[in-house]
Order: sequence, then structure tokens, then C-alpha cells
Amino acid sequence: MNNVFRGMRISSSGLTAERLRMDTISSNIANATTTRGKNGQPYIRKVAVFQENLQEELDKTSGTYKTSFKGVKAVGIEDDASPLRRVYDPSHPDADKEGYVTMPNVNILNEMADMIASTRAYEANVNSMNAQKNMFSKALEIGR
Amino acid sequence: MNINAYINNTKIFNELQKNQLQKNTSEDNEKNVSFLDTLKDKLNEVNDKQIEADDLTQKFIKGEEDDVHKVMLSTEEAKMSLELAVQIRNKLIDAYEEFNRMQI
Repeated sequence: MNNVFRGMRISSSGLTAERLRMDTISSNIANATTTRGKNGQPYIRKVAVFQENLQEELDKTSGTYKTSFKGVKAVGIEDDASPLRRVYDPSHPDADKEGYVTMPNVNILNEMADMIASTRAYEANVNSMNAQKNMFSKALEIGR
Repeated sequence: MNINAYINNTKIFNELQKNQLQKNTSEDNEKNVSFLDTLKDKLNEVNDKQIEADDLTQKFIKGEEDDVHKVMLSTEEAKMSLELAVQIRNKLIDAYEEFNRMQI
């Protein structure tokens, strides 16, 4: 019976992943001008990294192992290695001798684009889940 | 009464056949999975889904669960299971009525 809902659970894992991505995007936007992050450095842009979630499963009828899909899983949240921005602002408390402030490597426009992508991906997962639900309901109409 | 219509598990089916063959030689029917048991078993599974969905909803309201979609998925699974159970019931009632209408 649970195999019936496997597809929906895969979609559910996608939804969880998109939520995590959305969390990192929110964090990036919120910290777009944070100059005091971890160990005195400015905030570094965070990127959520995902991994395909496969599981080896023993098939009880044939005794062989088969891979089953379990959707996607987050591996972690990693730092973006791109260089930090340097902005000229001598009045800033964190400005160096030349008057430059090191700002986070967050580009608001990129974050906005990522946000749209994430929202659309979430919607796509919901749509796929609904499609599977409809298929199940249609199957129940057989012979009606 | 032995109705072998609702058997979605081939293993049970095989065992039923095996038992049918063995019936002449031995009378022990401890391995015989009756239709009623299967039905009860599956109905319990449907009920478990309802309980699970209820549990998750409660958790979400309490703030212990933070994924809305998991709550929705769980309620949806419960709903779909129940719909399937209702369809099975309808088919059974249909079969029963068919037998009732039979001319003797």
C-alpha cells in the first residue's frame, strides 16, 4: 500500500528541500549588508546543497537488491566562495584605512531570481503531487 | 465461504492455493489466511493512516511539526486510503446484492 504513496513522498521531499533553499535565500537577503559575521568576517552567502536520495532495498520476492527512489535530501548549507564586495564608505565603523568596507558577497538581484526559481520549484512539486493524487482517484473510478 | 476476489497480495494467493491442495491430505488450517482476516488487516491499516494524520495535525497545531506539506500529505494519504476502502466496500456490497438477487 505504501508504494502507492511513494511518488507523493518523493514530491514531499522536494517540498522540504525547497523550503530549506528558501531559508538560505531569506538568510542571504536579511544579511545582505552584515559586515560582522562569523570570526569578524562579513557574512558569506549561503547555498543549500542537495543530493539524490537513493536507497538499496532488499526485494523480498526475488531476493535481489534494488535501488528505490526516496526523492531528494539536503547535504548541507555551504559557503559561496565568490569574492566579497568592497564598497567605499569612510563613515562606516568597519571601514579600513582607505575607507573601504568589505561587504557580503550577496547580490540581491541574484537572490530574487533564486527566490522565484525556488517558489516555482515548490509549485511544480505540489503540482506533481496533485497529479499523482488525481491518478489515484481516477483509478478508483474504474468500473464505476 | 471463500471469496478470492479481493486479494492484492500474490503471496496470500499462493498460500491459499497451496492450502486448497493440501486440504485433502491434512486438516490443519492454521496457515490459511481467511478473507475476513485480510479485510480486517487492511481496514486497520486505513485506520492507522487516519490516526497518523490526526497525530500529525495535532503536532502541527502544537508547533512540534514545522512542515505544512507533511501534514497535508498525511491527511491526503488518509483520505485516499479511505476512498479506496469505500470502493472495496461498494464492490463487496454489489457482489452480496448480486448473490441475494440470485434465483433458486
